[in-house]
Amino acid sequence: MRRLVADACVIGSGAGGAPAAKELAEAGLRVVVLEEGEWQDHRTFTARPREMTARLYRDAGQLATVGTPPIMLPLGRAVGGTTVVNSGTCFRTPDRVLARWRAEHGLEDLTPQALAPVFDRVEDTIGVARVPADLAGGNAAVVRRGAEALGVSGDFLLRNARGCVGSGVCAFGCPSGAKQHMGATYARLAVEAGAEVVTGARVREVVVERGAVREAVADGVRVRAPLVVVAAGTLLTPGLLRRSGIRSPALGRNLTIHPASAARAVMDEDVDPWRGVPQSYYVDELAEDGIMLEGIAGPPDQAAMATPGRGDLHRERMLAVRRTASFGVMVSDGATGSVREVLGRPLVRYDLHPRDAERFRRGFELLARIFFAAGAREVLVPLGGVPPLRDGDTSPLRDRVVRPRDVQAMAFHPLGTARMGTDPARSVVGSDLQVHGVRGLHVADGSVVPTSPGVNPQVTIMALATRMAHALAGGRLATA
Amino acid sequence: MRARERRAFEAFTTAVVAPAPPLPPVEQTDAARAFAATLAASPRLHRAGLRALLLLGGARLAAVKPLRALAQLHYYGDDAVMRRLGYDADEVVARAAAAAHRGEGVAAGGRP
Ligand SMILES: Cc1cc2nc3c(=O)[nH]c(=O)nc-3n(C[C@H](O)[C@H](O)[C@H](O)COP(=O)(O)OP(=O)(O)OC[C@H]3O[C@@H](n4cnc5c(N)ncnc54)[C@H](O)[C@@H]3O)c2cc1C
Ligand code: SF4
Repeated sequence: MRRLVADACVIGSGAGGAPAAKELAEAGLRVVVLEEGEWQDHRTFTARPREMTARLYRDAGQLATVGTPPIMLPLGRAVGGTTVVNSGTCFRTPDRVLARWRAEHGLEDLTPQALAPVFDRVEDTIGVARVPADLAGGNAAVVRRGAEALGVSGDFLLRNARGCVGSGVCAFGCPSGAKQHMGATYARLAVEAGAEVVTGARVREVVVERGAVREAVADGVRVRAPLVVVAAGTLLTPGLLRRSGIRSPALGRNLTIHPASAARAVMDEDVDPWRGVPQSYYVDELAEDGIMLEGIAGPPDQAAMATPGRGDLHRERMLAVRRTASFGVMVSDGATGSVREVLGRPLVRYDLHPRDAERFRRGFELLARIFFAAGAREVLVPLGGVPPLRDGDTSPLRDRVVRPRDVQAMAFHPLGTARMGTDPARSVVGSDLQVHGVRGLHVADGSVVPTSPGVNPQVTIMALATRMAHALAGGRLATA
Repeated sequence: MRARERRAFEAFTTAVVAPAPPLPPVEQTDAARAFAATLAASPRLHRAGLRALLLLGGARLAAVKPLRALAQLHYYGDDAVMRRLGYDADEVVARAAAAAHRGEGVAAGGRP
């Protein structure tokens, strides 16, 4: 067993852990990062989803919720965490969401003004820029054309990529090294500032004595430190904290997942959905109602799983895959889920709320209208009982009551299972991200986000971790 | 994967994807080999469950959406099948490598 001593030990190197490690190391602390996954070299990425899913995703991407409907909930495992396989979309936490956190969770200091320099710093570090039209791909071109024809609000997305060539496989490891995920940015900067990153180190327990944190115990290594930052992700942090003796009524509860689904539209022209940035355009016409439309596309093997039907029908649809556009609907959900550990693995309970099923119906209705306005011949919507839509007719969707079990969804944004707030009965950490009542034990990952932000969360998580690190390091933001 | 499991996987995948020209039969693709790699990366319980289901359930499993998705992923992930549909993974990697070589992406690869 290797024994290390540090000023700070960070567990996990994803959107929360890597920024925390980098900022603490740059402030002069001796930092050790314990990460279960490995460093990943983009030169070994193969642009083959089937192969890369087994390599970069936890449990080969087979994690799913238990409930109605069952929902796949993939997570990354690598230095960089899920950011290695994410789409790179960047949103700041919307002001209306921060206002809600202040009003309902007592997080008075989370104002847009206070967070602006933190967001600036994060965006600088990961190279956030708007996708140029020439890299946005045929898929986005279809939706943009339809949205503009209908006068619906939308734009190209902001992303963390430098030198992107639109190879279309962001969710399976960017082979050009363009995507500025945590393993390529913050984790490396942490190492440059003196941090040690120990890989293949699954933390079993954090030792807490007399109300203060003492050490983190992983396979083959123990790190003694007066400050431990748990950043194992929304689905794994609660289990680790429980194993470490943390008891909080809110721990493992209040899970939101931002469920997502995608419609497909058969066009007359070639769309080549795998060319260009897969998530490059969004429609926020219904954002105030918690409904976002965002691009989602990929190579044929990924498309095959999302194409409805089987046998001859599925094959005919796949033979038209070049001409098929696809676009996602994401719904900002209520905190209805929970996670606990069973046989060492996370068991996620989640039932889609009927209100959110109705939101999917509304989102798909708008999306179908957009597709038809762009010239679609046929639109396939993954809601049970809704037939293929043709001739611009969206009435089968308009007139239908959609129940949770009718929705086929995935989810990419689990949040909230160790949420922050001022009331220890309703939250696990305070606004400083310290676990209520345990000195030196902090959480900085998706689990602290108190409610669904309604947008992709990586920048929110990075900003909260950065803010925490600066407070711990004693003060103001160092200049970038 | 044992020969019997491989045959069961191929029969099940054939029922799901119904290959017909211009697409090749499942046996002429690397779907089974890739599925074996996925099984190896799966959690132990899933691995055992998937194996048992394939042996016991056969083509009837085509009605189960998550299993169907696995068959679709592994068949359509074959290089020749993807090329037939217009996607060339080698070309994508070559283009990405050329861009990285030009220094357009600044992220360095792997362990620092
Ligand atoms: C396919 C996909 C696409 C996405 N696209 C976007 C997007 O475009 N924009 C966006 O904002 N968000 C996106 N997300 C979500 C975003 O990537 C996550 O919200 C974010 O990475 C979560 O950060 P985190 O720090 O909470 O956890 P993670 O990034 O998952 O990091 C947790 C890390 O902890 C490690 N770990 C876990 N347990 C232990 C342990 N016991 N010991 C040691 N290490 C451990 C894990 O291996 C992992 O590396 C996407 C997600 C997916 C799956
Ligand atoms: S589109 Fe391609 S090059 Fe651009 S970030 Fe995604 S994987 Fe990398």
